[in-house]
Amino acid sequence: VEAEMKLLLATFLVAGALACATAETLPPDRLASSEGAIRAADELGAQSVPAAALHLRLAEDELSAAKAFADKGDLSRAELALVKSTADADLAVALVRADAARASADKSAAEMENLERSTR
Amino acid sequence: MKTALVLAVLVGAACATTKPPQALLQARATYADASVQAAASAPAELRDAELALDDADAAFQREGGSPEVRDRAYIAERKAEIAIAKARYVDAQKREQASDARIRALSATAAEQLRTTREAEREAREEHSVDEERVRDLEQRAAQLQAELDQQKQANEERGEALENTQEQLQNEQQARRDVEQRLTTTLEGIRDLQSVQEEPRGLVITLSGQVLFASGKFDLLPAARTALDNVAAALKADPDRSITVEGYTDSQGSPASNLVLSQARAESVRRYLIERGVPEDKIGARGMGEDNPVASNDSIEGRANNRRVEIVVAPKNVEPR
Repeated sequence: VEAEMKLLLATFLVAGALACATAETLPPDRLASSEGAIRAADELGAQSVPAAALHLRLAEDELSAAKAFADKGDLSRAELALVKSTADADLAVALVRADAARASADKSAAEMENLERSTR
Repeated sequence: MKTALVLAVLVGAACATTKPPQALLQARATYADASVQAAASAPAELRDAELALDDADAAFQREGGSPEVRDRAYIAERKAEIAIAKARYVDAQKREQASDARIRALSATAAEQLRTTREAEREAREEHSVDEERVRDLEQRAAQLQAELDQQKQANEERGEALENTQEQLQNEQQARRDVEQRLTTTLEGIRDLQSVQEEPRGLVITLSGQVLFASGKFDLLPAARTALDNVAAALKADPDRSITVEGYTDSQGSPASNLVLSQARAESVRRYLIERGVPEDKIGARGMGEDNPVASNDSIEGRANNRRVEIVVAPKNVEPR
């Protein structure tokens, strides 16, 4: 029994060591890229644009998934998950900017129409 | 080894005939949309999407419907969507720039219209100001003319009143003169009944008989003389501006000296009475002439009676009494 206990403990220790080792192997540049894109989307106000908010949420989920894959030692899936997270965050940023540009353009168009009416 | 080769061929054949996963199909469709919408306005993003889709296709070629294929298709689709979003962003910017340009043009036009309107208003105000000034000048001129007219009217009224007064005064004076002349004529006619009246170079000479005026050797007036002298006084008062001289005369009876004294006393008696009757004192004088200047012969009674007389000489105007 004691031998079995030692074997089980050794197995947990090896597994934990392996897990820590894979978590640390997530590519820092891609991790930083993903986190930076998520932060940028959040700061730009992605939460106030429904489509952008959705992709921001997806980006965060993908980042969590990447970490999970890394924890499981699946670096390939982890890297892809980071790329997906970055893509969703970048899309959220693009949607926020497009929405802001559209709103600004609509405002200018309204001002233009008012001015046209007033100058007729 | 032979068996492994057969398995590889079988797997490859299976991949070649495997239907692409839904994610890859959706990525391709989205990329197709992006190719239409973002080719001009987001070429870089579209290029990223294309590369991502190539990766997905390559993975599918390698692995068929593996999770990696789905992940790469997912990434490709997101990048295509990014390209589309970027294209919409650029289009919105262009639309905003176009609106802004139109706003600037309209603003410039409005500003020009406003400037023109203000210029027109300023000119209108200036013109109105000129008109007002002209109206003020005309009103001032009208007021001045009205004042002059009022003054002229008042002056005319005053002149009219003065003329009327003058005419009335003239008429009164003429009437008074006519009355005086009438009274004088009447008086003289009355006087002529008692004494003679003659026009001579020295003036109007009224001769009163000494018998009517005085008792012999006396110089006190008789009652009959007073009546005659009342008429004379009335006539003389009617023309008070003339100088009067009362001259006393005697006949040649007695000494010349006594006759002179007597004639002087009688002339003075007549003068005093006439003054009492209202003839101005400063206009009447008296002097005794004695037996000088006889009007008849002293040889007869009748002649001496005529020589005893008093002559009242009414001088022409502006001649002082002697």
